[in-house]
Amino acid sequence: MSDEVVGATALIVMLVLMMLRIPIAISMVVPTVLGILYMENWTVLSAAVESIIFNRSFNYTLSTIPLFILMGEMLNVTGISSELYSTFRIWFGKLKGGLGIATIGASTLFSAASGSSLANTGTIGVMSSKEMLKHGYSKALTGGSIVAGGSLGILIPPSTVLIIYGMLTEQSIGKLLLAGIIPGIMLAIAFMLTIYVIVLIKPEMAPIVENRSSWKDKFVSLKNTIWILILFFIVIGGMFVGFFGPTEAAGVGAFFAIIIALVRKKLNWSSFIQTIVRTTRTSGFIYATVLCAFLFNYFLTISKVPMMVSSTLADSNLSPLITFLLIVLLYLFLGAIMDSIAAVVITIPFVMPIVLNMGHDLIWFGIIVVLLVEAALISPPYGMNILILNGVVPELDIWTIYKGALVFLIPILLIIAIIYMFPNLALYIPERMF
Amino acid sequence: MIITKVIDSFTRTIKWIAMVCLLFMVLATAVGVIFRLFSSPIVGNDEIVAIFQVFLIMFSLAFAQAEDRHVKIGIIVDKMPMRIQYVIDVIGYLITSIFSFIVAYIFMKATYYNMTQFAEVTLLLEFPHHLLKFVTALGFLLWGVEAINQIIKLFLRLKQVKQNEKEAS
Repeated sequence: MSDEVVGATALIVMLVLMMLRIPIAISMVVPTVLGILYMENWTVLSAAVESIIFNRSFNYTLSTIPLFILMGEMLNVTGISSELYSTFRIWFGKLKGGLGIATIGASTLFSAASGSSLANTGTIGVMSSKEMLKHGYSKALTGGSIVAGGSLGILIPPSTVLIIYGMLTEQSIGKLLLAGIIPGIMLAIAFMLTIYVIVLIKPEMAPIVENRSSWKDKFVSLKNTIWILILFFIVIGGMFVGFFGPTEAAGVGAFFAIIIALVRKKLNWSSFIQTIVRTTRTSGFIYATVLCAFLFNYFLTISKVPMMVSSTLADSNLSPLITFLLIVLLYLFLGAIMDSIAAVVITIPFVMPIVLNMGHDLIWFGIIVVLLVEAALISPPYGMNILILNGVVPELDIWTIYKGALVFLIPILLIIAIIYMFPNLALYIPERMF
Repeated sequence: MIITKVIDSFTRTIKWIAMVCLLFMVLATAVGVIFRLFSSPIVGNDEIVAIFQVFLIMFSLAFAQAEDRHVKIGIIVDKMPMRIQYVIDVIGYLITSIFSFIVAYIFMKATYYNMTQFAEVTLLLEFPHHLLKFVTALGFLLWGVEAINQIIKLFLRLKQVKQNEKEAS
């Protein structure tokens, strides 16, 4: 068997193992170990395992992941999320679909502290669903707004998926995180407009909510956003002006999040320990997946499969747009059947050479990948945000949420098209980074 | 069963070590930035964080396994009969433990090599590599042991289910 055939067979074995509910990390390393043993020998395998696992674990940049996770978890216990929601409710509650718009607004700001869509959906989902359902909002619109807003968590910095993408493609994590800001804000506005248009067409989906807030109330409510904004400006602003790198930004962010929780008197010993436990657990599975992905990528590289795929596509004379659409379809398909991190780690080795061949920027492509993963997060059958929302709000059944979420795929695909046509929207801020 | 209790207590212990390392990582980065602010940067601060990270990674792997949190796709298997799910899970845990033991073995050998023939240290703090490699070996060993622990627990659960069915009939 040629190396390419071994690589292709390994890919099939990996997908079969994944579908058999074997952990993704292990599904990647089984064909890696067997493939290297078949193509090379034990000495090569042990050298690769030792150097890849050691060098990647003893890596300062990788520590960005647990530190940002801790920052998000810590802010979660401060109760800031409910205050954010009430602020946006005061500002937008009077509009058609105002509570849905408030949900998107609160999710957008909470995303600036949490790097995870799942945490975003779970946190905002509990309180906004109560409010929306109490005021007669349809279950589909309620579920759809929450999961769409939750998906912003991986686009607006900090973002775990972007950090992992940066590690795999060896791109600047700082630039990647900053690149998510403009598309994130655009997508949040697009989601809000989508809700507004839905309610214009079907007013029965969201009855008008009485809202007697004065301008004074509105401005007073802005104080609720201060903590998140301060943290965002310290962490992301600090990175932008070059005061610190991504890892320092994450460490300082986590440290300030602990201070905020203490100042607001929301942190007791038990909640502190629980937060650290959750962060350690999440870090455990992310680290396992990332380390195994690096091993898998090494194996694919020596099997020359990514190069083969890339040169086949180049020889096929497909137009760049068609190739791009094929990549979009690949991510939508994979994202619909697997976890977002898994979809990113298994595709990057193939897709990266293709994207580079097409002359695209990998920072720009990172944003496209995250937008596609966002679409996958709210698509059946494996839309993780939907499963999470159903878990925390059981009265919103899965199919109703799917129905409600489907319409939010339109703004995501629209933003992808806009970013494809105007790459500078993603690259504007990173190119101005100090 | 005594063996599962012993493994559980090991995992609980390393979980606490991982948690402390996480806090040290936060502290080291924040203190590093503050010191730099006052123009006296801490030499090797990056290495301190990376060293704590090695401990965090290696000791959180087994903990994530104990809580069954490693990412899986249950889209097909979730719909299968319970017994088939158990069989597939046992296979998954077995493969996990075999892989973990292979990595642990490779790192044990690397530790021995670094200790006896080729001593390596980190660039700035001169922290010995063999200690980090030993922690890596230990982490993967415990991950593998925890995967076996899951198999034992699965069999115990199955035994309990059978017993309940017997009593009910």
